[in-house]
Parts: sequence; structure tokens; C-alpha cells
Amino acid sequence: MKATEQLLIGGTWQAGRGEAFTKRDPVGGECLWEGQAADEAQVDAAVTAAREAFPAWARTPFAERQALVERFREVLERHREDLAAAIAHETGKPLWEARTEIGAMIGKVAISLRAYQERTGERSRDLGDATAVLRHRPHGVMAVFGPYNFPGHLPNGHMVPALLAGNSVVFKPSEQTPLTADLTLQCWQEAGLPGGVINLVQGAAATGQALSAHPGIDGLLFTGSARVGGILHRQFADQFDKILALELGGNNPLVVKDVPDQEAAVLTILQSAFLSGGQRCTCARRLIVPEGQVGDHLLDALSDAISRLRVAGQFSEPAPFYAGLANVAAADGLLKAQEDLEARGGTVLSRMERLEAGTSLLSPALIDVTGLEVPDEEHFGPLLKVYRYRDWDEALRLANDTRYGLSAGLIGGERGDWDDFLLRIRAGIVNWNRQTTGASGDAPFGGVGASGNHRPSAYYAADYCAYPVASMESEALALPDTLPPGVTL
Amino acid sequence: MSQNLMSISTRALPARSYWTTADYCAYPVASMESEALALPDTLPPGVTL
Repeated sequence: MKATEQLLIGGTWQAGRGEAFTKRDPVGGECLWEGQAADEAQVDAAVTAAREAFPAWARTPFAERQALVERFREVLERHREDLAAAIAHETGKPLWEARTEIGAMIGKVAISLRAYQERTGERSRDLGDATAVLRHRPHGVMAVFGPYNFPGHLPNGHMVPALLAGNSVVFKPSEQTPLTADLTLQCWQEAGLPGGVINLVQGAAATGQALSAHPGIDGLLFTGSARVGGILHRQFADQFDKILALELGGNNPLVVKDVPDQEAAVLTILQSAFLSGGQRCTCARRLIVPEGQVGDHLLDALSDAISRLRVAGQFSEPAPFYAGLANVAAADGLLKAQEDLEARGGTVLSRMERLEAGTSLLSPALIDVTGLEVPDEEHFGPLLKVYRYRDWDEALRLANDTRYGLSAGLIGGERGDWDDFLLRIRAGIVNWNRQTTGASGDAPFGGVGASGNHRPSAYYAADYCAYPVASMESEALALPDTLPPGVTL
Repeated sequence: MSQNLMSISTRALPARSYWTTADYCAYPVASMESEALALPDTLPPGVTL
């Protein structure tokens, strides 16, 4: 597959007329995509094209909409390796991991079909002289804003349910991942996507602002930072006619109760904090460890494992555990965060370093910040903060001491500890003896607090892609056996 | 249960009612859980313990 380096509006590829931008591989440095953003007029044209396509698409029988997404799945299977390579190049994640992202995109189709029927769909109840029917209707034109860490899977998790429900889409991918979006839209076209049903506008903040402020959209589905999510939330506050779904970040706690198996605990921590180089919103950012010998030994073993963790280019052999961050500036930001935590008094147990000049390859950081005032921020990279605790209540207090509430994990403990943890922790993904980064695609995905706006995605994405319509209906208009009091006909 | 049906208009929230009132009274929590903490049969790429 080859990038068009263009926009897709109403079924026609066209060059952008906005600001020129380039995406480079954050490790290899090669140019991956070079083109121009959509300007305001092109965003308007994309929304207009989606609006025009909407009525016919909404009236298309469900079986035909289903057939399209199933053909899209087949096309993804055919282009698996091209897409995985594009994702690995753009995000900096290893090829083995990028392949699993294509697997998740393929799996999303069956999950979305089931969710459509179970969460929305249609049901009716016979009332004798009438029928009570519940149906679901699409909102109209949905703007989908994609993140850079899962440029295929996460927008796909909005677009497949949106299309099944009968919406049309304007998709603005992250400016960090234009190539994956370009290729994905080509896959949709190969599957027979009618013109205007998905439109692609490339670009950064200016394009995003033009789209989010466009009066012609009926909803906005956003995956990204809490900062931008907060701006959108305020912007949409008085627009009751638009639905807004926000999937934001987390400052996720991983609590160690005890250590029944030290190697397994170390692996669970590595998988929680450093999978994808920490570029998952479910990654553990705060490791909460008991004071004393058991905790000391665990941290020693963790530092040791970190020093042996293989971090290298996305396509290296033997394969690395993780590779680069999505861009060099993000890596600079992580190094700065480490410096800041150290300046606040943090003790660096494992020091993050740039592994090759000019790249985004970073070794992991492990920093003890017990008792220090540190910002409640999501550091989106391989940086794990350590907090030591004296008793269980303090562990829970530390774990919940965040404005976010996306994921949380417990290592060790008995069933009673787990039940207590489940009851008291504030998060939407809560795992026991499993990495925080393991979320099931057939469960809802979302969090509380600053992690979203109570519109969980994944299995519940169907919910925000349609609204319910309740009907009482009867083919015959007839008088009842008795008239209401006071009525004479 | 009362049928507290709310209209959907351009000025109304896409509110849930009747069948789905329970939706806004709770938030979903998805868990992967195991009583035992154990190593998998094979380690992920790049990890040495």
C-alpha cells in the first residue's frame, strides 16, 4: 500500500490546502507522510459531504451496513503487514506489537456487531391493542478524533460502531499518525465504502478546532489528553444537541499488597508500566509498595529487570520489549519530567536515558517520590513513580489520590483484599494479579474523574452512536371500550 | 417502575430513561482477575528476569 498524502472528502482524494506537515519515523528518521492539512473550507466540505451521505446511509438496511464492515475486516486481513509496518513506523511501537493492533481492529468488527444488537438494536412488547417498541436512531454526522498511540485500533473502535448505527463520519487522526489513517481509509474504500460516509481530514490543532466548532456535526468522539478533552467539554457544555464522548488519560495506580512470586510481580509491573514504552492510557504510572524488606527486595528485582529490558528500534531482531516514543519531542518531555521529579526530591532508582541521539528511544525511569508533592499528571512514556506505604488504608488513599480514574491494579492479597480494593478504588478498569494494560475488548472501556465524561467506549461504544426512540404503535386507530371520565363523543 | 419518557429534541439531552435509567446510576468496572500471581509459559519479547 502507498500513502495518498491527501484528504478524502465525499469519496474523492484531494490535496490539503492548510499548513504543510511531515511525519517522520521517530527512531529511523525517514519521512513517512508529507502533505498539507485540511483548511477550514475543506473541513466544511467534509462535514457537508458527511451530511449529504447521512440520510441514504441511515436508510441502508442494517444487513448491508454489516456487510460493509465485514468486507472491511477482510481487507484489513489482506493488508495486515502493510498496516502493521505503518503503525510501527509512526508510533514507534515494535512490529510484534503493531501486529496485535491490527488483530484488535479485525476483532472489533464481531464485537461491535454483538454490541449493536445487545446494547441498542430493537425490541418490542405486545400490549394487546398496541405494541411498545424500542428502536435506536443514529445521531447524524460524527466527528472522530484519533490518538497517536493506537492510530488504527482506537479510531476504529468509534468508526465501526458509528457506521453500524447508521452515522456518517468525519475522521481527524492525530497529526502524529497521518499514514495509518491514510491507509485505513484506502482499506475502507477497497471494501466499498460509499462516498461521504467516512471523510478524512488531516492536520493538527487548527484542523481539529475547525471540526469541533463546526455547527454541522452532531457528535464528537475524542480519544486523547485530559487537557484537550477539558477544552472540548467546556466548548460543548451549552450544546445539548451534540453528543460528546471523551476517552482521556490516567495517573494509574498499581498497588502491591504482598509478593507471592517475585518474578511474576516484576513481570506484571513491567507489562503495566512499560508496555508500548508507557504509551498506553492504561499504563501504571504510580507503583504503591509496602515499606519494609518485601518491598525493598521487589524494587531491587524490578530495577535489575529494568536494566536488562531490551529497548531498540521497532524492527530490530531480537525483538525489543518496547521501542520509540511517537516523536522526539515527547521523549524530550519525559526526560524533562524525570529532571523535574528529581529536583522535587525524588530518588532515581533507574535512570531514564536517551539510548541513541536524535531518536525517541528511552530507557525506563523508576523514581521514588514517597512523601513528596508531585504534580498529578500523566507522563505518557516509560516513567514509573514509586510510593511506599505503611498500611492498607494508606495504600488505598495514595491510589485514589488523583483527579483521574482510568485503570488500577492490585498485586497479591487474598480474595478479601481484592473485594475491598474493588469496592474502594475509583477506576473503570481494575485488575487483580494482571497487568493494568490488559483490557478486554468485549467489556466497556472508560474511567471516572478526569479520565472521561461517563461515556465508556469499546463494548459500550454502541451507546453513544445512537439514541433510543420509544414508540407505542398500532396499525388501527380505534376507540377504546370505555371512554375516559368526562368525555362524550 | 414509572415510564418517565423524555423527549429527544435539539434542546434536550440524549437522556436515558425507562429501560436504561440504571445506566446513569452506576459506572461500569471491567476487570481481569486471577487469585494466583504466576509467570506465563513464555516471557514477552525483550524481557529477561
